[in-house]
Amino acid sequence: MAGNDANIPGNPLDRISDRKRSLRNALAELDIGFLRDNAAWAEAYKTMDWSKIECVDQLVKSTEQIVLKYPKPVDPIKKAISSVFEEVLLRYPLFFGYWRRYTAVEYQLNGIESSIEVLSNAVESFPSSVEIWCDYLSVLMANRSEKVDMIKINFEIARTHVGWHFLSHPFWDKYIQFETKRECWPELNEIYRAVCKIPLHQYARYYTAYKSFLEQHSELASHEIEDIFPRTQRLVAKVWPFESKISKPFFDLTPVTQTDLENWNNYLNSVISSDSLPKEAAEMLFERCLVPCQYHEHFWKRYAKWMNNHSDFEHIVETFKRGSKALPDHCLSFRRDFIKYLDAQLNEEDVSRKSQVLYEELIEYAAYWPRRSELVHEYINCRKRTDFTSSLDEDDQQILKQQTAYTNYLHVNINAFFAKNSEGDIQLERLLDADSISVLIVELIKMTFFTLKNNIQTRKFFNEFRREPQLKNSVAFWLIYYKVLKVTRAFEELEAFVDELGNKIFLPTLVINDILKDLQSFFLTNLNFRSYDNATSRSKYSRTIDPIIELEFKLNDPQWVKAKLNESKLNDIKESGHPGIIIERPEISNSIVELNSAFFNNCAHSLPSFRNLEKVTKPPAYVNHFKSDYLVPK
Amino acid sequence: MDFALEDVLDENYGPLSLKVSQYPKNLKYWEQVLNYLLKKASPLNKSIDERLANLIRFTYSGMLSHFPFLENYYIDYALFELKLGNVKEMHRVFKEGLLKFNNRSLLLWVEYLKLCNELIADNKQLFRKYELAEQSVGLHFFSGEFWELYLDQILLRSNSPKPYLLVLRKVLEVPIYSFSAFYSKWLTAVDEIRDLKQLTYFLPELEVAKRLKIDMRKVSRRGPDVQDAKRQLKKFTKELYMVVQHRTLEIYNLFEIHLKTQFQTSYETLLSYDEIVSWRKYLNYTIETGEKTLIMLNFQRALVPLAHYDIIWLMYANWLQKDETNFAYAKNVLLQGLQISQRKVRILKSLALVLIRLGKRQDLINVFGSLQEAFGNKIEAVDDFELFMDYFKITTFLQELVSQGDQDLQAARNSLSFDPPLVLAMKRLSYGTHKNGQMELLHVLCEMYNRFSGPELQREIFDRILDQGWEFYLSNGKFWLELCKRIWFDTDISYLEKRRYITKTVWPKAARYRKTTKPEMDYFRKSYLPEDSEAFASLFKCVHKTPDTN
Repeated sequence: MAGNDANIPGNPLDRISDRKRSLRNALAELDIGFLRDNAAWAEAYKTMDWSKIECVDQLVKSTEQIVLKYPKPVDPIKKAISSVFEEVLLRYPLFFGYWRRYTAVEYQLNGIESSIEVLSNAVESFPSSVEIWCDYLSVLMANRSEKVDMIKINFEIARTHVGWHFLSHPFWDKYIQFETKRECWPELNEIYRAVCKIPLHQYARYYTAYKSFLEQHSELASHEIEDIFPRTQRLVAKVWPFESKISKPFFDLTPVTQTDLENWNNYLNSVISSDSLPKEAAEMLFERCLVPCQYHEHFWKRYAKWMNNHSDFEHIVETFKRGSKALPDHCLSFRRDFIKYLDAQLNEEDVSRKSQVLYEELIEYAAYWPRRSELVHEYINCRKRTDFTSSLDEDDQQILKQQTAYTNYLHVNINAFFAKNSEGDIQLERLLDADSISVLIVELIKMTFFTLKNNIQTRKFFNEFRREPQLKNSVAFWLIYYKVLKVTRAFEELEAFVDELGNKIFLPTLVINDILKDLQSFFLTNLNFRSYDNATSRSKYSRTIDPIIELEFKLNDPQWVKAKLNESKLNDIKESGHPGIIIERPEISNSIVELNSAFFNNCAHSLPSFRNLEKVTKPPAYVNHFKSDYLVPK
Repeated sequence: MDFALEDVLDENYGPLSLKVSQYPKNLKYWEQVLNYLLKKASPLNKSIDERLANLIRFTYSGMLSHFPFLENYYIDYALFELKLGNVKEMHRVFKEGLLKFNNRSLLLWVEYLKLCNELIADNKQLFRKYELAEQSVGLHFFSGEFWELYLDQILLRSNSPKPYLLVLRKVLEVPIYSFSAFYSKWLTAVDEIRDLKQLTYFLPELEVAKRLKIDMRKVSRRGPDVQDAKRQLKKFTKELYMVVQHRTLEIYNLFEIHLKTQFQTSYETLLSYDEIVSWRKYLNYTIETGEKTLIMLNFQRALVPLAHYDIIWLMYANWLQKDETNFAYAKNVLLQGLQISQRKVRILKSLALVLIRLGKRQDLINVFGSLQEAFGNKIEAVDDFELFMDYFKITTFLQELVSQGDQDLQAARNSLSFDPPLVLAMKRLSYGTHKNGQMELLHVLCEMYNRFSGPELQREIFDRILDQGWEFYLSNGKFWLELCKRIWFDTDISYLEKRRYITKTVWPKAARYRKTTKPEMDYFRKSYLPEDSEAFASLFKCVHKTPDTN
């Protein structure tokens, strides 16, 4: 539901803006004297907090003041001013007010050509804005009146983008005005016919206008009009309850209210399920909704899902890409949908191009994905499907050849990663990091063991890779190791493995717990009483871990080692009763509490000796285990 | 006195005793019947009807067999015998009661010793009891009363002040609630030192010279040395006080203050979560001290209010195994726990493991044989999945490993009444949706590589489920996932055979239930067979498009 998206955690804008940090410094080319004279402006730019609307607003205002102060500035200043605006609008292309102000500034600095250029960029960046389109078309009509075809084309583009907007009457007025001026009656008739079918806020006005237009142009008489009007009226009545509740149709940096989110969601439900509205209406509504709800994954997901049923590959990919760019970094679900979509597309034609799109997207995601393993896994799966295809209909030898080739590909890439050479797949190399290399290794082992069935080589790989520091805490690697040991019934090695858990192999305690429970069950179901009893009677488990009894001791205490008082144990004693607080307790070093008076033999006891007596008044020391154990490497 | 017992016990007795036999775990009914009988028998003296007295005895024993940690009622019972003049019986009751606590019951000891003070004239005999009590409950946080009793008796029955001071010196070091009272006794004794000779009551003679720097054999001017010795002794006392106070306050503030219930309650009474947590923390704290006597005492203390829960029994047994490697003792604790605790499954498992470790094969067979009987030889019908799995694993473990070819021989050697694992598992699986954990059981079966071969498992389990067409499994993605994994992990099948079988045989069958099986099959495809995505997609393609709304 939309409600789930209501809480945007943290400040998503920070992270978005970080990704766009590749922008150059707008003030780089200005001379020091100028910067000194306009220190406040320079300072505002340098110390910009992009997540605060007041700051952004302040920057725009002070930039405009520079323009007032220097009406005819030199080129570097002009460039700097433009750059500031560009940066603002690159980060926030949905602020249509800034586009207008930028246009005005550009007009003053560089004349009409530049300002048209700005507007052209504006409609490209924010194509669902009726206001910007109207501005653009007005300027074109006023200044490019000779290029009728070009204007006409732009009207048509605008029509596809904003024609179905509930409040698009200014655009339609402009279009009608344009065609009226040209006296193109058949085309105007077509426009009227189209506009009359659209549920617009001012639909009645067009009905009246169309009627009088037809009266004047009897050659174009249409019989439909009487039918269309009531239909449109019904449509307007249907959307009005939702339209009237939209309290914030524009973009800003404040959160969208829960009521608004629910309203958008219900509105979309209604339009999507309606038979009387065409797909353009739904598309327009999605676009409008995503203006205020641009950071809400829920709506992007809905849009992409809807697109999937109503559009072609190119459009769907474009929507996914737009969403990926717009959404804060932590919204992974939408991006996963994209990967899933592309993955499914690999079953269709044109695989090489589609796989390339997938690779590029994966690499882009890698920049901010929390754990890259998922991406690497997707990548190699895709590679296997495209470059090492092996259909079951093929010859057996051919299939095995492809499997071997894929295994070699993995091996080469792993070697390239560790040797830091460039012999591997360059795209894959960009995805790999210390964490995700384990995916490749696990895949290599799976291939060697399950597919090529080479046990000796599998052992070799285990011995080779277990020493790599990157794998000491890789859950995937150690789970496949554990799995293979179980399948090959290597009981002795399983015992050794579990002994190393928590001491040499560092997995999350929950995972260790699961392994311990599973292993105990494995031993019980795969060994028997006689063999175990023989082993215990040979005191086999006096030094090594007893798989029946002692695995439970390690539960929630992964560092437990048989009969050894290690450092952590000593700390446990100091923290006993109050974890996280170390107390050096005063103690009696020759305590007699455990002696029995029957054994005193009528001899007096020694005087007590003390340890830590001076620490009796010492305040306790607080230990931040999270910081010391996780954040600071030992 | 020759009347029928029925005449004394009016019509009220019947309903009361019926309640008790109906609800023996409800303490209230026991108390009602006991109060009723005691009222009928009062005044209690030697002349009461023997049959009534016996009835009261039976009632006490019955109650205490259901509530073995009801300290107060042992005392009641013993006092009852005393009032009837049966001193020997009184001793028996106390001893039996103490046995239930492995002697670690402060309340019983204090009450018993109070009576013994009056009744036992022989000093040696009495002090033997005190010494045993000291060994068992001397470190109890509330043992102040016991120590008072002990010290009083020493003063009373001994000619020399030395034994008194020796015991007092030990008490000084024990962190107990009323520790400071003993310091004042000690300081009084120090004040009363009149001569250097008396210093040997307080510390060994060697240390007088070494640590106090005082020559005891000095002939002249001994007065100032006595004063000096007193001053130094007081200094040590003060330091000792600081140390003990630190420890006592820590124990009190962190734990003891939170422990409200110090007695066994009726089975239906639940303790607050906070109290249980406090006990756990307290026990962990005690374990860290490494003082074995205290650890065992505190475990016994915790068991009094928490005997109905399995948690303390398990902790106790765990500590005995982990830190003391005393499996025999752990076994005894678990056996007692099995009788008293309401929840027995985890205790039973722990007990089974200890018995395995101790090599008690016959005991294991007996325990699990009686478990099987308890469920009418239909253990597979039990609702508790955990219990079933433990039974399954342990009885499997008890059976010989059957290898191909010598099955007859093995069957003869097995001679156990337990079902072979595959048979038992199939019985359980046949319950389908009516039992929990079916998929987990299936998973365990698939990993019993050392017990039976892949084809055997396929034949006995998977094929039978497929043949029977059990919807519960066929529509469950996990069933198909287990089947795929079983085949994929089978080291005896070649890669191509595996791949063909899964994509051409398993997937089409699973795809009939694509709505529910798709996620797991997709997971398998991604993990092991990405190259067959196309085949997968065409098999598992949804017929209907997903609706756009939401």
